Amino acid sequence: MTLARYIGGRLLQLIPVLFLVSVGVFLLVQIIPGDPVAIMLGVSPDSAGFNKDQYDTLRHELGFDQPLYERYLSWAGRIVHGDFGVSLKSRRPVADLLFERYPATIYLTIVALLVSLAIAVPIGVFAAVRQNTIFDYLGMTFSLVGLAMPGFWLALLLILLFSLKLGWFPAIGYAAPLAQPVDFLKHVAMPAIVLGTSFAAQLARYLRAETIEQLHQDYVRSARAWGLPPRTVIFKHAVRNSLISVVTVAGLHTARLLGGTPIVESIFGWPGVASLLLDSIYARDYPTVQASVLILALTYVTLNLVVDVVYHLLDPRIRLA
Amino acid sequence: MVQPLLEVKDLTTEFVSPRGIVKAVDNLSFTIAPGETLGIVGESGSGKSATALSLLRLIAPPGRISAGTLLFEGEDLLRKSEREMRDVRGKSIAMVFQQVMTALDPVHRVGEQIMDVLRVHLRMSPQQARERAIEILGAVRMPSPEQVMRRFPHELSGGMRQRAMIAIALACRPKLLIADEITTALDVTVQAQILDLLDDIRREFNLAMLFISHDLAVIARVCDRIGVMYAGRMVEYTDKYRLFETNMHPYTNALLEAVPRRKEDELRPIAGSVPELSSLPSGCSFHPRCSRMEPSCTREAPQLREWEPDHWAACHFPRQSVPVAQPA
Ligand SMILES: Nc1ncnc2c1ncn2[C@@H]1O[C@H](COP(=O)(O)OP(=O)(O)OP(=O)(O)O)[C@@H](O)[C@H]1O
Ligand SMILES: [Mg+2]
Repeated sequence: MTLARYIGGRLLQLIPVLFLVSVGVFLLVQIIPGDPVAIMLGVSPDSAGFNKDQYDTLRHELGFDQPLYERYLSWAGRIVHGDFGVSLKSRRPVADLLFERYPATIYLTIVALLVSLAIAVPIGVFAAVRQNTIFDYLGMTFSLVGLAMPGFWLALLLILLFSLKLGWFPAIGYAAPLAQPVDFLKHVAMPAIVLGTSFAAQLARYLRAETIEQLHQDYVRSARAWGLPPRTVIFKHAVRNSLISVVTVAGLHTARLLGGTPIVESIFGWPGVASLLLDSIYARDYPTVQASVLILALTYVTLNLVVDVVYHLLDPRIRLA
Repeated sequence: MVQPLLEVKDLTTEFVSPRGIVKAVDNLSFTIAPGETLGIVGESGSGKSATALSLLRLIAPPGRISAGTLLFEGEDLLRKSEREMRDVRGKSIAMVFQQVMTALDPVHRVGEQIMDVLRVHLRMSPQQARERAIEILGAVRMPSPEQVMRRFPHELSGGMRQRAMIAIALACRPKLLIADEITTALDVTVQAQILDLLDDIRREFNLAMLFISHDLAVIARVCDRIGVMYAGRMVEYTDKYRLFETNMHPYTNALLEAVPRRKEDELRPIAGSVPELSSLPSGCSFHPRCSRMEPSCTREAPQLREWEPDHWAACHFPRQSVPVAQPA
């Protein structure tokens, strides 16, 4: 079976997953406290300025007088056609909002992923190679701290130190990576570090454990017996083999990465989908909530698919099935 | 006498274990002349692999070589830096392991693993390395070498993997090949093919070998000289004919007795078991299992002595001219 067919098969499997996610998202909004129609009108049903006729008209326009499943079907049908409705807060098409906000989240996630790798790979590998030395203990202590430290707290520390005290990085804001690359890097640095740290800590621990395991394998002994230099033995053989399971674990924990985005985006004023989600939850802007959750879920599922494909590429023993 | 290729003197290799320090190799000495094959035989746990790994200084913690000299072409390997040692490994002294299924890296193609060795040691270009790798796969009689280059290890049979390992070992034309139980994991027909191959390449490459096996029949087929190991020590050391015809040590004798003489015969294991290295018996460590045990054997460990020209044994009561083929 070829890789293309495998990916095709996996994409087909996504359909039921996305169906369930969409049902979940749809129902979620139904149980959010508060009456969206009233919120749109800006008056509550028991207040003085409440106009019953106006309320019913809007309710009908929005389709809230129809049965649940019909509302789901028409909602899902519109979404399939790219129509996410109109934001209750900004009165703009939600699709436009997503189109503006989504790239920022993706950039941040990618940079955070790179930051995680840049932290985790050296620490994990070095700790494994120098197992039970001071380097190992330092590396593992760091990763324990990284795991335990709440993201918002790290964010505040970084802002205090690097923006307020040293003035190296702006505390909030955003610049487009292609238009203003330098500005982008300055803005993305701190949110990416915050987002990447706990992920890096986790990765470093797995990479260390797995590399130690691989260093004891027979093929590593062979590579040594062949007189290959240490960097080849360590990276080309031990680390390369450890990546197979590290990638799987990393895949399972991409949720941790994405899960951190709402807080990090809000703290740093990063105009991504996740902060859009938070804002729209406060505003009871339910079409935007639904669309943001959907697209974040889609991102998560896609990341997992990518991880799966990478896993298969890394291990020639696995037949694509 | 020819200058020996390898001269091992008083090699001692220890492992730190929860029950104290154990000497997996205890004061071992032997020599290998150019082109000669020395067989080392002994039961499981007697220190054969530890000896082999010590020669390449591949003993990993908690183990270490604590004493001895390893003269290879007159130079002491134990005095070399790790960097210098890497030039010896795979280039002058190569090793093939027992673990047919796991000794090759599963994620890299066979061809690449051979080429890496050539590129590191002989500084070949990728193109040169490829040609040489195909050539060497042909020399170990690998069927369709060019295709095997592109295979991953799991796509090859056990016999083919072992051929690939031998090809990697021979790639840089080493002078000494250490073969640690290389046929043990293979079935009998494949085993015979690999042994035939070894015969040929020994001649073709003028290769000296340290051939380790617990199977005396295999040892007899391949080796010129034989050392018998027990609990980390050499207990008998001589040429093949003397060992089979006039062996001196009761352990050698027991090993020979244990070999089934006809195909139908069961293997008859030696009574008793190999002692724990952490709690070796006093005196001669073989005494609890020995048929010739005398009170003095429990007190004093016998040293390896040359009882006859080129016939060494570590026994207080060595016997000579033991008839071998005597049914019990
Ligand atoms: N990594 C290790 N850690 C601790 N002790 C070890 C280690 N490797 C070997 N030993 C000790 O060295 C002894 C000899 O082991 P070795 O592998 O050399 O035996 P062997 O003769 O090759 O046996 P086999 O026929 O099973 O391969 C073992 O009994 C064990 O006590
Ligand atoms: Mg062994």
